[in-house]
Amino acid sequence: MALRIPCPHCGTRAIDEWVYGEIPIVPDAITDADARDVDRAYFHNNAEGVVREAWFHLYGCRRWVTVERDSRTDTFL
Amino acid sequence: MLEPLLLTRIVSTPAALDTADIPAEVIVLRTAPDEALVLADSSTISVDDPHAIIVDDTGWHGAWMSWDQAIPFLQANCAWELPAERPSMAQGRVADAPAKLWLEDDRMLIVVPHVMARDVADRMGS
Amino acid sequence: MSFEYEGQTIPTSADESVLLSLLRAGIHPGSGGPLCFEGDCPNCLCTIDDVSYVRSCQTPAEVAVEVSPHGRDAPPLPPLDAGAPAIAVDYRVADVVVIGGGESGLQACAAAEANGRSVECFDASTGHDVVAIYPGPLVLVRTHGGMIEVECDEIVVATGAAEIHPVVPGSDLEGLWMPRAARKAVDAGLDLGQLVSVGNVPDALGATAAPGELVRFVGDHTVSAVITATADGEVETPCDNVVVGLGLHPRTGLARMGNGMNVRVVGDALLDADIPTCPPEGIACPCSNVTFEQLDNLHDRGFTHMELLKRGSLAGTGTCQGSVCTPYLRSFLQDRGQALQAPFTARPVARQLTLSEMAAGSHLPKLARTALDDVHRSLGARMDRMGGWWRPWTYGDTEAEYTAVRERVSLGDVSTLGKMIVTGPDAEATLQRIFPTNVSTIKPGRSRYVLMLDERGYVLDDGMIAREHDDTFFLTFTSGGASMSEMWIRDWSASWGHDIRILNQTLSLGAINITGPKAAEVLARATDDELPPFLGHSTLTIAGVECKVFRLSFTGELSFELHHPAADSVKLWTALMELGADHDIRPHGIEALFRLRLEKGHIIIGQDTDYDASPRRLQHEWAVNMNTGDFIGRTATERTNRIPLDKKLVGIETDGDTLVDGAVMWSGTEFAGTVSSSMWSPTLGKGVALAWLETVTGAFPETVRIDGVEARVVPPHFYDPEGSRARA
Repeated sequence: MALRIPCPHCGTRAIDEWVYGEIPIVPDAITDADARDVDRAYFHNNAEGVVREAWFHLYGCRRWVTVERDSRTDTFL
Repeated sequence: MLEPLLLTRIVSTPAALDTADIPAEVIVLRTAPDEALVLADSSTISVDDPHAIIVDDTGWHGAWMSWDQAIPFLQANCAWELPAERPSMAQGRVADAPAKLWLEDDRMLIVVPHVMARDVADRMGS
Repeated sequence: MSFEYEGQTIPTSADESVLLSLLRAGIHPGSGGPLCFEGDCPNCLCTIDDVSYVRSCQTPAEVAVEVSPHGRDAPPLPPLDAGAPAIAVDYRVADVVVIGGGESGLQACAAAEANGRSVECFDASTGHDVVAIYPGPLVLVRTHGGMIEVECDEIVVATGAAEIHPVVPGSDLEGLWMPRAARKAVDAGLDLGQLVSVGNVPDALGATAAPGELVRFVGDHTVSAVITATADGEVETPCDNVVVGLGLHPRTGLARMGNGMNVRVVGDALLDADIPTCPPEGIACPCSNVTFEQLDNLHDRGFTHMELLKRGSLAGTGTCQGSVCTPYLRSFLQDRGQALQAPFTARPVARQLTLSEMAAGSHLPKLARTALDDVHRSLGARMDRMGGWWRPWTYGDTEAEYTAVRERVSLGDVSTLGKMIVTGPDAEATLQRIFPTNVSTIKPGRSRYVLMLDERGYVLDDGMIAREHDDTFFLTFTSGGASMSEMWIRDWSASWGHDIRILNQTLSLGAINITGPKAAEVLARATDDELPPFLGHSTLTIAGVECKVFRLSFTGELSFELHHPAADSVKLWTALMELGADHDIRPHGIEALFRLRLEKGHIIIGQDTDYDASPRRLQHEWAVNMNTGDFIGRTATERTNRIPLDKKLVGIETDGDTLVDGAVMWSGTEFAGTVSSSMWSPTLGKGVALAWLETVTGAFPETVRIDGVEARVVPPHFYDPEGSRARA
């Protein structure tokens, strides 16, 4: 598989150089503070469309980068 | 073919690294905005950041390769494209190792963590 | 030039396929059936140089040394050759990959190049088999000299159209030809004798046309006549060879494999498919040997979709990946009253690959070696793969290694530990929020055991936190947790906007643990400096090597961890072994270390913890300070503390038996948990274990049965529970 992730420091690299990091998004509809904590800790987004996510460039700069991915096509924007 | 290197590892603010006092002829591998691997011992280096980390680092092995050697090695062991600029630094997965490359007109330096040096050397056919 | 076939030497010439050379010698190498010369069918498969299922029509004769037939009944097993040579990968990058070097493919190449785009073009007839398209897009190509992987932006599929094969009864006879193959055979000078054509065949072949529609072929092994149906009934036309023209079916497999990617189809691959007549009987899928009778059986049971027919019958899953049967499966379903359906989903790989080809470019996972790797091996260590490292499991006598630690002095290579410097104005604030402990009370020169929790309050890792100066800390993590811990701290400190500097020194520093009652005595011979107190640390020169010395204990005995430049590991190790010789110093491997720490009740993250191990369940609440400020996992810890404890990590003792790691514990007939680590303790004379005990009818049992053995639940500190030996 060759998802290609753009690294602002190192250039574009295939997914096997990277570690995924979710950026949790708690739905606005959840307002109770405790419920928001629970949602953030236990629920994953997996949204359809363009999602913001963090990737750690393990084989390069060893830094987190924030990128946008279209989850329908697995292309990075 | 891979030999132990004495490098200096610097972590500081990006601005301090941009203006670091490093002898001009020394190769600087800028591995991240706030980090660099410098091919010199730490006594020759200073940066304008009171909280900077500047440490000698013997954890890397490296080898110079002519492009005649490097091209077939990279073709079989590197799945990404090198930058066109010379001299320049590139980093990423090479022969399964997190490698730093220093690219010059007529040669290339490959630097890998010593813990993988033997296996990378095997792939270099040496 | 020649190759061997069943003891015969087959002469060949350049630019000729193995198949053509065999046909010249009067040999049909496959199990019969029409030949297409284009790689679309399973009818010319051979074993070539120990690789079976090779299309002889697409293998240049000059690369073949030894060819053998598959035989008509049993397909060959692949040779089990563990010494098969490694296959190289040629990694390439291109703007455009064009698959197919025919007219439309070459036009696509020229057009892309005219626009200044870099192009890679692959054609199966020249030995470049595109076997897969993966997201990226990434195109995988098999060649006789290895694999090619091309990352690209666009793929142009110019694979053309395949001729539809006959599947009527008798289609497995020799002497049957597709029109293009017959053309090539005639051009190559083969004598096809009395050649009869059926269906739409170019006149130029000079074949005698049999009238009407194809019904079946007859003959014994080789075709001797073709039976056709006309308005006046069946007609038998005698022949030596038959050429069959049933129309074209575009080769869309790779285009379908690239569904959703930037794939463009050009040329004959865009043609509307001809749908052949569905014969009343015959073998629809020659690769998987699926008859129309079997398809009817499935259809009657509700398998009315292409995807279901494929799964129910395995039609389309064989060598040709549906090239022969797809037109007939579509025709079959239409004939049985279904709408015309699209071909089924295509998935990698489109061609058989050898295990070597599948593994091309992959290697044994690269394992890191500490700077002492050669030392361990020269001492006869059995090395094992653990946490991404080669580590010495045992040096051959684990009992003696254990005893050396408990009674004398021993060295252990702990270079694999995660090691990190955190410094800067906000260093303390960062660590205060990362760890559930009051970092502000760790004084310079002191260190503390810490857990690292996630937001759910579960343990991610454990390690030590040592304060060097006011705003400089040195952290250690587990061997397997080093990278994860770096990611964790970088992520959080950035999100808090803290002003810190982080340096991961895991691979730059070696670390040697000198442990045992004589450890301080041996170490004192190597330095003039004063050794640090328990849970203290200092930078000392040991045997000429500058070391960060941490006094702590995982083995339960007096221990010093010596962190030093990786280049000095061998020098330091050698010096300490010499200085400890009179105490019969010897190194201990991981097996002995696991026993030593288990006796002490020290947990190993991953061995004794699961994804949901909270400090409370681990009985490690002593490592969590709820009187400090906010830390990651605090909210979850407060929340889960309000509910009753459902399971906990306990000690287990038996009188005579060693338990098996992972064994199930029972309380009466109720499940009561599992054993996570177990050993026979020579020092204590009993079996000891750490285990996850669960409540049974609301309470924790005090005794359990494990594999028929009675065991007692005890506090998880078996050896020296006061810790007096480590503090000595």
